[in-house]
Amino acid sequence: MEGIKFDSRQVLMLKGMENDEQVLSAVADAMCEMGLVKETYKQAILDREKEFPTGLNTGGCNIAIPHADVTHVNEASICVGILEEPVMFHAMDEPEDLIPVKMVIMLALKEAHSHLDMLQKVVELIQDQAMVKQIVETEEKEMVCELLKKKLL
Amino acid sequence: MKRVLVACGNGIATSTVVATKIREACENHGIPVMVSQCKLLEVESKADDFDLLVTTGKFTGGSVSVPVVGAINLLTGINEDVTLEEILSHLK
Repeated sequence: MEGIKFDSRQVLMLKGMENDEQVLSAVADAMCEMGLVKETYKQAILDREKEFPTGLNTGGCNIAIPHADVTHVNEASICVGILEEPVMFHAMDEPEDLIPVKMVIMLALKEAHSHLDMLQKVVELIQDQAMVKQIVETEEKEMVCELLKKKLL
Repeated sequence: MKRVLVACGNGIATSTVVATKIREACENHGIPVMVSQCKLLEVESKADDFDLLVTTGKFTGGSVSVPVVGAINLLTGINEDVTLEEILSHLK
C-alpha cells in the first residue's frame, strides 16, 4: 500500500461503546493522539457521518468506513476499531436505516481521488466476510493486527 | 462516448473505488466512457452534463434529468455483477 500508515497502534479493541458517536470519537481521538490527523478531524468525522453516514450493510458482519475531508489529515492512514458489542450506525445507501456494525475502518486520506490501492484493499476486506467474521471474533489484539495486515498491506 | 458522474459523500473515497470499477468494466467490454467524480452536494449543478449518475450514498438533492443508479453493491459485493450490468446497460 503506497504511503499508508498502518500498524498495531492503529487497531483499537473497543468495549462498552453505546453509540456511533462514541465509537467515532474514540477512534478519531486515537488518530489525533498519534498525530495522524488534526484536532479538527473528530468534529469533521462526526458532522460528516450525520449527513452522509458510512455504515455498509454486507448481510453478515456490517462495517462502517468513516472518513472526512482531506484538509484535516496530516498523514494518510487508517485506524480500525473492533467493537466488542455491535453498535448501530446509519446505512450509507439508506441513511434512515440503522444497522449493527462490528468493525469500523476509519480512513484518513491525504489527497482526493488517490490511495486507490488502499481503498480497493479496504473494499476487498469488506467483501471477504469470512475474514471479517474471523477478525471481529478474535479477542487477541496482536492476532487482529496480523489478520488485518494480511488483507490491507 | 458516454459520460458517467460518480458521487459519494465527500467525493474522495467510495466514488474513487466505484469510478475505477466502472472504468475497468467498460474497458473489458470495449465501451468507451468518460468517468468523473464529485460530492453528493455538487450533483445537482453537474448532473446535466452527463448521461448517467451513479451514487454510493443516497441522492436527495432534488431532480436530475439523467438516470440514477445506486452502486452500494459495488462496495458490499452483494449482487455486484447485477448492478455493474445495469450500469453498463446505460452506457452501451
